[in-house]
Amino acid sequence: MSGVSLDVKKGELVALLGRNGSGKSTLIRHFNALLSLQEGELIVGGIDASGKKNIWDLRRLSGMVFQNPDNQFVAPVVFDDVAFGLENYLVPREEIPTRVEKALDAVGMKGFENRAPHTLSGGQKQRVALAGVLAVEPDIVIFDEATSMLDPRGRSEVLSIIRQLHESGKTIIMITHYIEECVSADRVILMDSGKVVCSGAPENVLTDRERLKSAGMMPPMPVRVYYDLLERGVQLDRCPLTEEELTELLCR
Amino acid sequence: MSITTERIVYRYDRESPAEEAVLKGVSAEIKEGLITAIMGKTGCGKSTLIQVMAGLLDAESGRVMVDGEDICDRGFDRTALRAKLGVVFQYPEKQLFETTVAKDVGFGLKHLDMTDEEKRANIRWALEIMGFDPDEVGGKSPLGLSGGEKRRLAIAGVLAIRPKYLILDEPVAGLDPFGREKFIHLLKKLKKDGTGIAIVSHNADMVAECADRVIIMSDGEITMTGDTKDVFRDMESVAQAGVDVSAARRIAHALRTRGIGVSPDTIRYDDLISEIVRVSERGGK
Repeated sequence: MSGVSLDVKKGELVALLGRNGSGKSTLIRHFNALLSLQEGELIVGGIDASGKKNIWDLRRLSGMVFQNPDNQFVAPVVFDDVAFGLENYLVPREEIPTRVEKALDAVGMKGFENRAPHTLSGGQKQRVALAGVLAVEPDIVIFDEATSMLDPRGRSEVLSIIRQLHESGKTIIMITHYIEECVSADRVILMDSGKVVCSGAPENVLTDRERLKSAGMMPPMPVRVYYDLLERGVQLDRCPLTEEELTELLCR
Repeated sequence: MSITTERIVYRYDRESPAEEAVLKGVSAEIKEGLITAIMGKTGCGKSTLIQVMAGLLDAESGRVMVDGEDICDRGFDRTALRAKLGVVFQYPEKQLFETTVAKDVGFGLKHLDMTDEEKRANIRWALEIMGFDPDEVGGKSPLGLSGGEKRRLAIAGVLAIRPKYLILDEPVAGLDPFGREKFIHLLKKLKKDGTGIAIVSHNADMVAECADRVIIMSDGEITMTGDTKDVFRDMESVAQAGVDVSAARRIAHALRTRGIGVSPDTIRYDDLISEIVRVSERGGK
């Protein structure tokens, strides 16, 4: 990190984009004190994240889902796994079952309480990992490439839950290398070399071919098609962000 | 020359109540000088199949032939197989453990019959082909590298043995777009040198860009196999197996259903661009 300044609003869905080694994962690991702040200032939901004094408040406030579903299980069955975090936060014993049920319901995994994690599909595992995070009732949920190991169905399952969480008012920060997943974010933040390169609406950041390129990223496929066609003398009415828009424009 | 499986059956937890057949008679072939993609949803048996191919799991029945030799034969030299066949598992970066980058890449060479000079040359070659400057990173600790760099380093460790066959499980997950592009370039280069490559991947765009052939698995069986464009042409069957086709194929299909005459063989990005240009030059639609 070399002087990162950014501001994420409550309820925003922000996609964090950048090449390998650009500092995305390092950045978000400061948000819940997995890494401690060396310099600068960081306030998460009004809580000062410098020093070690507020670690547990920070971790309760923001939960994280990581890339590999298999690394995130600590218990032999789904119920215990989701309950694990709650025990750490001294949630009263009698309250735990309701919290677990609610969390499993939110990710569409009710009925899987007694299943062993290894019998689940990739998407199901990630949803259970997410339920473990949601049970703690964080205001902020952070996804660090949570879809990159999943098959197409698993990916769309997780993405649709991310959207639901966003609609329910949670603040979402997602890191992804599938730039197509950034299209529906409220805002895209592009990072490179430990700095924020730019931040803005998807239609601005994701269509800026030169800037993305200099940050080691590629625009979404429809944007690339737009520019490559332009170079070959085919002009579309505007630059599309999704495959559907692209098809629509091509049919005109 | 090839790796061929013949009617492989494999069960987990054999003779226990949890017994489950994950490979139900799988016959597949990984040919020298070609890239073969193995696709299918989570749990379809892809990863088990490649472990059987690499001689890391022993099938209950069926044969695995590597260059015409049955690797399950008593007399077969498994050490020789290790020098011939490299496997890159998911999250290979977790397998880094040596104190320096050069030592880590050279680890697999320790027990191979090579002079120190040859080993050093192989390490250099593997680091360079994976985009590292051997003089710059050779002495560094692997643990100080970024996630993407660790991935490349781990792959370099497998390439250093100069395997004739290379099997990779989800090699591009977690790589950024240029990392993916470079990786595809690398696979094509290795293929040109005659390496037989198998990649297990959910990433249909990558498969369309580099794979010559596709094997689609579903529930422990092969449901489709053939040239990539032939397999991706049958979108319905591919979708049934829970697999994506490439974005280029999807768009070509959408355009065709709207009456625009792009070729149904359009599966790669560059082909999509040329097809659109071709059709528009022919006069609009």
